Amino acid sequence: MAADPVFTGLWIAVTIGVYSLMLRLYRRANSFSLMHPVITSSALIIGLLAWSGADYPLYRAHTELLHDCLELATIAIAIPLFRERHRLRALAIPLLTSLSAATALNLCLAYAIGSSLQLLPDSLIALLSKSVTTPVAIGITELSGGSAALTAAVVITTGIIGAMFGPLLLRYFQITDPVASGVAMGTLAHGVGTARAFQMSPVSGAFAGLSMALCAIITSLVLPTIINHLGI
Amino acid sequence: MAPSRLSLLPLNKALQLAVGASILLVLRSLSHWIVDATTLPVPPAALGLMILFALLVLLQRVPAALETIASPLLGHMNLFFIPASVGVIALGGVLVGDGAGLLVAMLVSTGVGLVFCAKLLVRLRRVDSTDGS
Repeated sequence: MAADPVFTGLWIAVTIGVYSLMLRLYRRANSFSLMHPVITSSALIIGLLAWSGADYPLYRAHTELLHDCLELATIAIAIPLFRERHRLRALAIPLLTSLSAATALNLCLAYAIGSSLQLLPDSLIALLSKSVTTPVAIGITELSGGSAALTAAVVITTGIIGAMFGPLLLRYFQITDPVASGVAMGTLAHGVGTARAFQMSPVSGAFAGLSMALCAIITSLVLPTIINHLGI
Repeated sequence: MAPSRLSLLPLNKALQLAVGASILLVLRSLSHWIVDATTLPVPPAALGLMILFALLVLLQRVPAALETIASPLLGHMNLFFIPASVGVIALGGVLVGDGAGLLVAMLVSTGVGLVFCAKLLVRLRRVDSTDGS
């Protein structure tokens, strides 16, 4: 798709402009989950695309630069991970055990429910990638021949579900340990869950970020092979 | 290592941003090249994360240029999700058929996984601390 540079500049500017407005709105709404800037910005841009008559593949070609930045941001997760290396070493075994077991349970449940409801292959791939942070999920999806857009939608919705219901569930099951809460939020609800965990406590936030990165690494090593074997 | 020596110079912030971005871009190229050459089933960005983590462990500190680029990138990661999530319109058909099923699968697996993860870690930490005492 040939992307005219005149419009590339415009669409990137529009995207950044809409995002910064929606971020301000989100903060004013006290970080209310349903006002998450990804949801509100995407909705507004979908409206703008419909109004201007531009189609999605063209918009996507114009905003390739922003998509590339996602890869750079993923690589940069190594930096907070490095800062937490001492705590990580002290807790490594219990943390990795519960993180891997929960991820396995999460994926099995999602796949079992998805396939028993006879969802399409693209939907199953999106479900299997769902608890990983979006850039990695998109990477796994592209590797497995799924739909990047569907995966992005499922991943973001999963994050919002985790951020909305996670703290309520943890309270209901009387889990007060800030480390355990953070690990659970980061493992199951990645970036959106991590942002929410930082509001619970700084310790929860740090461990959520750490778990998000670890979950992304472990899943990206294992999942593409599993998807191949399942023959989706 | 070139990046660390550069960061010792009194660079202004703009230059630090540029140097930090260059380091990340080189790591991105390197990880794409490794994935292409070896056909490893790993997303290049995740491989880049691992390479950078290994480099930081070797260096034992975070170069200032990387520190400078990391905070805007990580702080506004949501912005970079937008191009992909706008793509929801490109799949109207799938969402109509699978939307409800996807939502059920997401709600159940996320909720159960979250509680299981936290409960298991609380129990494992308790076992650890009783062993230690």
